[in-house]
Formats: sequence, C-alpha cells, structure tokens
Amino acid sequence: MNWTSPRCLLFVPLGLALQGFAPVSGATVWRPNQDSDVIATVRTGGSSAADRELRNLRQTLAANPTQPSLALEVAQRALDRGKREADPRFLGQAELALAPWKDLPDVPVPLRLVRANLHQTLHNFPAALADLNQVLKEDPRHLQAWLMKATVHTVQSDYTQARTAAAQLLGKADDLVATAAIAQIGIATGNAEAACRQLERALEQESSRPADPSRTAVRVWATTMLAESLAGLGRSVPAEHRFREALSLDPTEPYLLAAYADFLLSQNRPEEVLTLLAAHRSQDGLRLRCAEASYRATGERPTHEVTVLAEQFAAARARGERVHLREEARFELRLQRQPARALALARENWQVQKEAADFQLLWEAAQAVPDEPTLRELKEWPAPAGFVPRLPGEPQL
Amino acid sequence: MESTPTPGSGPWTNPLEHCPRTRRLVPRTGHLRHSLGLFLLSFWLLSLAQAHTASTAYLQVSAMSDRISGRLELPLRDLEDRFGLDTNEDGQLTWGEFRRRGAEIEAWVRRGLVWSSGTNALPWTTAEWQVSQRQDEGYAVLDFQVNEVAEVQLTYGLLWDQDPLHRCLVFWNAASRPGQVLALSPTDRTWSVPAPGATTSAGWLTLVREGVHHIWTGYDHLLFLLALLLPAVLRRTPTGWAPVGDLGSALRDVIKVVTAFTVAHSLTLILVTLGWVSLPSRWVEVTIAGSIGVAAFANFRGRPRLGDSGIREILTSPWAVAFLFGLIHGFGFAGVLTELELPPGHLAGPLLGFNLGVELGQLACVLVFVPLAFALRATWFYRQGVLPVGSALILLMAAGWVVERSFGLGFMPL
Repeated sequence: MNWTSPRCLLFVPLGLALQGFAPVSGATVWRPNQDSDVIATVRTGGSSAADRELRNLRQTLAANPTQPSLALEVAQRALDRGKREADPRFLGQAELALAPWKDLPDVPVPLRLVRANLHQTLHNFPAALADLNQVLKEDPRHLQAWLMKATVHTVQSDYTQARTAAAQLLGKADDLVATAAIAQIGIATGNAEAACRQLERALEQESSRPADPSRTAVRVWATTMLAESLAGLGRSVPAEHRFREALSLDPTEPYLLAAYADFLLSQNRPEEVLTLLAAHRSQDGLRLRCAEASYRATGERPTHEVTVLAEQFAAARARGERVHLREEARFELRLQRQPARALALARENWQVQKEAADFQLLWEAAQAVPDEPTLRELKEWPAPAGFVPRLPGEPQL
Repeated sequence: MESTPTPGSGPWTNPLEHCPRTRRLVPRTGHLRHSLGLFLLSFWLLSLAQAHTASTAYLQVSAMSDRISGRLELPLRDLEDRFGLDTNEDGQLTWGEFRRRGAEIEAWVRRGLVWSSGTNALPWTTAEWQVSQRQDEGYAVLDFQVNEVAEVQLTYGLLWDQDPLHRCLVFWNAASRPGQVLALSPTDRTWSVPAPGATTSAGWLTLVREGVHHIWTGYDHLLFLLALLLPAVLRRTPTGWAPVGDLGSALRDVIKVVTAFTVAHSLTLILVTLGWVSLPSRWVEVTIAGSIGVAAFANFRGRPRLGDSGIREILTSPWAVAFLFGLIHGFGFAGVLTELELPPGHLAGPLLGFNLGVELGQLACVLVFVPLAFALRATWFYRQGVLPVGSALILLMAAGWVVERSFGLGFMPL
C-alpha cells in the first residue's frame, strides 16, 4: 500500500464517521392541480357491508362506551378484521372498545379473553398470559383460554407450560382442535413426524363428517399446520397437496398465503408466488414475499417495494413496536443484503419468539455473517422439524 | 346481527364469534365444540406481523433563532374515517372531496394540537393544505410556524379517540440535537421543545461527532497538517534531511505544530462564530488551498541557507506556518458551524463541542501518522520517497484546489 497517499489515513476513520449520519427522510409534498386527483385509497375495493356495519357499531358504542356486550361485539369484530387483513388500524379500534375496562379490577371474562387475544396479536405476550391466567382462575374449564395459552407458550418456547395447557383440551374440546394444539408443540420440539400423522388422522376423520361451513377455519388452520410441517420435513409433494387443499377451503387467508408463498420460495418457484399474491396486493402483510419473489424472479431489486418496506420498518421502529422483527430481519438479509443488521434483528426477534421460522432465520443470518458463537448456540437448541443445522466444515449427511 | 347476548352469561359464552365467510354472528348453541372452532379464526394468525404500518402522524419541527417551523402529516385514511370524506364511497379519496372539508379539518387539528408557553396558548400560522405519499399511503400535509422559541410546549391529542394505537412521530431538527425522533402516545402527549442552545449531553456529543466528521472529511485541513508533519521526524542539515535521534525531539516538533494549528484555528473559530470578524468565504477557501501548497513547498528546502531570514525563516519553521494559516483554517471551520444555524446567545456549548471534535479527529490522525513516520524516518523510502513525492502530490492537489476555488470550477476529485 502506498501510504504516502494521504487518503490511506482517511479510509478507516471516514467509514466510522459516516455511520451515524443517516438523515431523516422527508416525503415529497405537493398540492394537487385538480379536484379529481385521487390522493388516497381509503378502502380497498370500495365500501363493503361489513365496513358499514362495523362503522355503525363503533358509532353506537361511542355513545355508550361502557356497554359490555356492545364493546365485546366491536372489539371482536375489529380484531377479526385486523387479523384477517393484517391491518393494525382495526386493532386500534378493538383497543378503543376495550379501553373503559383498562384499569378496572373486574373485567367480564369474554372481554378479558378478547383483550388477551389483542395482546398476543400485538406480540405483548406477558400481558396476554396475565389476562389468560385471570380468565382461567375465574373459569378453570375455559377451553378457549387454555387453547390460547397453549399457543402463546409454544411461541415463547415454554413447552412444559404449553403441554400442560394443551392437555386440558384432550377429551373436552373438539378432536381436531385438541390434536392441532398438541401437534404444534410436537412440531416445535422436533416430533414433527408424529405430529403430522396425528394431524392427518384427525383431518381424515374431519372429512368423513358432514360439511359444516362453521368448521372451515379449524380445518384451514390444521391443514396449513400440516402443510408447513410436511414442507419442513422435506416432503414437498404432500406439502404442496395440503397447501392447495387449504387454499381451496379459504383462498384469502393471509397466514396461509404467506406460508404457501414461503414454501414456493423455498422451492425456488418465485414466479408462482407472484401469481399467487397478484390478487392480494392490498394485503400489505404479503408485500415482503412479493418483493422477495420479484427479486428472485427477475434478479433485480424491486426498488419501490424495497423503499416502502424500509420506510415501514423505520416507522415501526420509531413507534417502538417489536412486531416486525422477524420480517425486518428477513428483509435486511434477503433484500438489503445486510447480514450484520439482519443478525442483530434476528437475535432481537429470538428473544421474543422462537418458532421454526425464527430459528431458521437466525441460523441463515448467522451463517451469512458468519457468526460462529450464534451458530454454536443454536446447535444446542432443538432444531425444527427436518432442519439440520450444520456448522461450517461439518460433513453433509 | 342475530344475537347480542350478555357477556359472562355462561361457562362457554363467547357468543359474539362470527363466521368468517358470511361475517354473520353465530347463534349461541351452547355447543362448546362449535364456538371453540370458530374462535380460531381470530387466533391462529398469531405470527403474521402487520407489515402494514399502524396509524402514524409525522411531525417535523425545526427551531430557528426566532421561530419554530414545521410540517404535520396526517394519514388520510384516518381523516376519512373521522370525517367521512369519501362522499361517493368508492374507496378513492379525491383532492376535491378533501379540499371541501379542509377548513373544518384544520379547525379540528387546531383543537387537538396545541402550542403553548407557560399557561398561554401560542398562536400559530398555517399554510394551505397539501398532500404527500408515505409507504404507498396518502397523507394530508399542513406546514406551520410558531413565532416563539422560549419554553414552547406541544400538546398532541389528535386521533387517539378513534385509535389508541395511533402515534405521532416527532422529528426534531436543531443544531443542538439534529435528527432526534420521539413518539407521542396517549400516555405521553406533551413535548417540551428544547430551548434553543439548551444542548443535552446527547446533542453535545452530536456536535463533537460533527467536529470529528468535519476534520476527517474536509481533506484540506488534514493535508495541510500532513504537509507540516512530514518533516517532523527529520531535521535539516547542511547535507540535507537527516533522521532525528529520539522520539522526544520528533514529538516536540509535532506538538509545536499541532498546538500552533489548534490555538490559531480555535481563535478564529470563536471570533467568527461570535460574529466579531468575518471574511468572504471564497477568499478563505482559496487561502486554505494556498496554505497547503506553501506548507508542502517548504518541504523541498532540506538544507538551511546562509542568510535565511524573514519569510524564509517562517517557511522553514512549521509551527509558524501552522499558526499563521491556522487562523485562516479557523474561518473554514466556522463556516460549518454557521450552516447549523445556532441560535445566538447559546453558543458556548455547541462551539466547545464542535471544537473538541475537531481536535479529537486531528489528534487521532496524528497518533496514526507519527509512530509510522518515526519508524520509517531513517529509511531511504521515507527521506527520498515519502517526503518529496508526498509533498509534491500535496502541492499538486493544492494547486488544483486554488484554481478550482478561485474560479468556482468543479474538476477536483475530492
């Protein structure tokens, strides 16, 4: 190196100095020329009957905010819409409906249960568990509460508590529900083979029953769980079959669409992801998958999508939210190609949730950096079904 | 709606679960199995994050010396929900639909967003409504100005009565703490606009960093110093440059140069920032470029000559050159600080922080350079290579800059 060049002195400190100087980006502002200019899409697909109904209910509730049955109705509907459309504004409406009970010691059980559901949707797991435990104290036979408790504990990788909760469902709840609740713990703890067999059996029994539209949600849930688990085990043909079966039951369920998109991406079939999600572009929860698929399909980073995602993650961070950590880590790893940032986010996410996807993401980020301590730490952890974490240099099986 | 039972009326009642496909309420059957199944609808999405951003207002605030100016951006979706702006209910909000209600919306904004000083509400002026786009969503934009800077407080209360998850992100820009972001929430509704110049330790550190940043990226200051320090590990003899014997004498020279440069530029930095002296910036920039050339040129005179005196004497004592031209470099540093629009009357803290940053950045470079130069001082490489070639390169750069800056051209790579 020709160190007579003064620039050699500058390389290192310059790099360090520039780090902390990312400016806050302002949006482009304009004044429209014509009254007919569209300035925002406020509802996708116009105003639906469900929209109007919820709006009317909210207005009625605003006049009587402490009416429990009305509050429950609004909270439940808003929560369902929020989950269904991955739109947090509805979650805000649910929270508003429950607000009068916020600091009260006595909360009616159904309201408390919806609140627990809202908490876990916002990834506020300790608050969700506190509400669930209180519900179960008042009503130890509350199967919904046990079911939710089993799932929250599973997500947090507290499998002993999850099993205890799920055991409460055996023999008392619907077979398919109980099976799925137990299966999800099995899948998380490396017993995916057995879990898949149980799910297959329970779904077979289900299909022999007369068709019942009210059971569609349960069937979609269990079928998707089975499909994801089969995919994890590397059995992609039956996995594909199950994904399609679930989609035939409910073609718009966002979780299912996301899971199937992830499966297709893992199969290196990005074009099919774009087709699958084309009709659901309004589902913002699927934007990351779309961007990833389009990057893989064309080899070009979709700049607009990447900018929008980056701004969304920045805003969420500034808001103090931790709901997006998994998605953000994935974004940094696969779209921004920033393994170090991705690893930091995946680690932070690992503190909050420990599902198979979280494990794989942390592993992938740690390999990309590479970060040996993290990889070794993960080796100690029970790996998700079909996932064999291999340290660099270890022989391929 | 087919049923609205009272909550808590039975062991298994969560009767308000509704069917996902028809969006109708399920009649209460007392059947545990059914209600549990339906319950899952709202339950299993657990891990799908909302990549959709929640309701967020953006408030950019900048403090000037005599006023606060800013920009408020409110999500149009929330305004539509509150005011029912989409009159034809097609899901597309047009500028006309919004504009017709503009005055009403502004009045509502003024009720919910209050600037105050002590117990007095402060008047604030607004420009006309505009729009913006963030993350593919439309925003209504209101630029505003508050003609007061002392003890100003913001109380924000918009939209929380319709969405408690709404947040207002405040982007605060002022010289004392650039680029700060905070989130206002229902439990944290007020924000005291920091008094101008009331630098917090974080803001002060930012200025220190700004100083370091400036010295490391303003190559001209470092090149000037480098030109002066290249011969510090050597001494002039009648036969040319010879290595100094011990580190002590090299360090003495280095310290003399660095101290002279520091004292000189700090002096003018303070004088200019306080507004006591000023020079045209082009003149300053050209002289800075010239000073680098002078410093580099002096390195070609290895042998002292008989009769060296006056200007020559000065040229061959690097500390004198450092001091003389350091005064001019101080004007250059001050230019950066002036760009930050520091409010008058609160300059001491920021000035000190910035200056400290400059000195730290300079010291770091010296600490990298001196040991290397000392180790290599006796080599042919240093005496015949680094010193003359390095000086020549610096001289060339300086000449380029002089021309560039004199005529306002832009051909130099740095």
